[in-house]
Amino acid sequence: MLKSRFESMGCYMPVKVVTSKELMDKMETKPIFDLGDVTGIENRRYRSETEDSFQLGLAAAKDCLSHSKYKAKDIEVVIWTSITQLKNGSEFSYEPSMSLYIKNELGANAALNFDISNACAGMLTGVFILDNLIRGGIVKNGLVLSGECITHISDTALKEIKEPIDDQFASLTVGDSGAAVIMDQSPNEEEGLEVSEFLTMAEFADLCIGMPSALNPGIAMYAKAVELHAESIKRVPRWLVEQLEKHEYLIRKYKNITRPIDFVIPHQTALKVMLSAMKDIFAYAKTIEKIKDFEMPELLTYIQDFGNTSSTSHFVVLYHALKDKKVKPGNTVLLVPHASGITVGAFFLRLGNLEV
Amino acid sequence: MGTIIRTTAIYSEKNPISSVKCSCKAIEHCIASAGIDKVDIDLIINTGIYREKNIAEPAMATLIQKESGVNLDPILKFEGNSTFSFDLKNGPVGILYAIQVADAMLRTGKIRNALIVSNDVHPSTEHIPDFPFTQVGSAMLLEQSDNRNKGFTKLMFKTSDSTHAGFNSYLDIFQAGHEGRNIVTVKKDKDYINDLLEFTVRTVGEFIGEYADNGSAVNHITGQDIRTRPRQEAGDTGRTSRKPI
Repeated sequence: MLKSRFESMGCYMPVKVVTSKELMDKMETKPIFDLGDVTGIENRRYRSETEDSFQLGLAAAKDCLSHSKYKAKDIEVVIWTSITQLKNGSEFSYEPSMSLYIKNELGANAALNFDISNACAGMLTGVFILDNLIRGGIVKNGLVLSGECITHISDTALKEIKEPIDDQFASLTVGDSGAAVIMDQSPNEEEGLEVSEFLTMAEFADLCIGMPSALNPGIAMYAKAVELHAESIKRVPRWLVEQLEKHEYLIRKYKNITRPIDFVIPHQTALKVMLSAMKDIFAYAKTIEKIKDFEMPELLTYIQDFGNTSSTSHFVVLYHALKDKKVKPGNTVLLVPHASGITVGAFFLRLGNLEV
Repeated sequence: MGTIIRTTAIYSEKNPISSVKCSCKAIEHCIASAGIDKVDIDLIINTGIYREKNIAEPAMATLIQKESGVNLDPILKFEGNSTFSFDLKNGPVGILYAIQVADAMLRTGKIRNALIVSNDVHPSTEHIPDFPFTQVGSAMLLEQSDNRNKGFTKLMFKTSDSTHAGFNSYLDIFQAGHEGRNIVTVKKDKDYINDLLEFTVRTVGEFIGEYADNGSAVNHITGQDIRTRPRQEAGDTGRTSRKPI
């Protein structure tokens, strides 16, 4: 059956590095915890004075095309997926779409184009859509990209946090980035996207809201992090194990062994949270007959270097893991989006010869 | 199997209201006339651009799903289904792209139905005379028909490589000062409407020539209500007489 694959990937990380200690030193009211210790984030990248979402996304798209067999004119759809839509520096753009600016700048004149907004699940929502457009026979390839100048929320948090426990603390974990992926029809059975599942637990939609601040110029994010974690941990491991069980035959397809998933990339929130969630999930899987022999995959993360890059997080990690040769052609990867909404998903794929 | 519009609904009030509430009212009417239960909704795509307080996260579709009470907690309180929600944004043509996306997901069997919702409100949710859009909530339920001759047969999209100077809107997050939740800037070139009209007419003509037997297969043409002429001009480019609606 027709399926899609990741044909090429691109990434752009702003040059400026800001440490967690530097952020903490700027705060008038210190948190009751050490930001670096609690999150595992040592550094994150920060946009320069002149960089905006458009530029970060465009740089990632150009990097992606440089690794692709496709030229810009061959691309059939461009899907922009960021939370921040900053263009001309500080203009949060509504119309026209960011994807139109990108398409015109790249010269992807034949492409359809539209923007997706789905919080930190943005890029994988784009992948979910493009996978269906390819399998549905609408297009043969496409570009999903995001440019996130998300550290604007950190700047607001630094000005506004006045209590040792504050809804804006999660805003200090983010980092800027651009990421892009070109997908096309998989040329063979040996690589491609096998599982793509998403659902929205809208009961918790208002636990994390991003919008302009009412106190200062700029944008802010208000996250009830403790509640988000508590509600997620009751549900997400259970749902993920159900997905592993439901798709067991696809997951074992490539390697009929006890470790069919080589790597897992969760949304990059905090190191301890990711590790404990993975342990919970694979401990729970051991209680399900069909998948009780599944061993825990290796966790891939670059959270110590890049923090939480929001909608690009899975792609920033996969790109750097490929670059560092941690991940190789033929490896299988489970991508787990977890975003405001609360949106949760499961994507399982086998990688082909992706060069970055 | 063709993708069909099962039902549509619109909702408006005299004064602007929350775009979440406005969409929910349209959804209520849409699914009531379809005779389905809200638990059966698989996908919600919001295509509105302008929303209260300039909220950027989560997707407005998620907030609409919550307000409408659609499969709120499907993992612990499973009612037989789950729903996925996201926003698709592309100015006033977002709805057509959402139809294309939903059509693909219906074809692959990923979903059984899709609810596409939209409305645009000034971020202050007040009536602002210079804001060029009137709030009307809309909802459209798509599903597949067993009859392959029914439904959408071809969607064609075309963009001009010069349009992005003609109309643009944004929030300058610094210049807005403390008022970022209540402001949006909309800029329109003086030639924009004429350029849009010309581009639309040319594109409709190409579509009719390429996919609609030079017009003999087209009974009605409908379009964005920028003024009366475009629909009639587009209709007049073909050989047969068509009714603008």
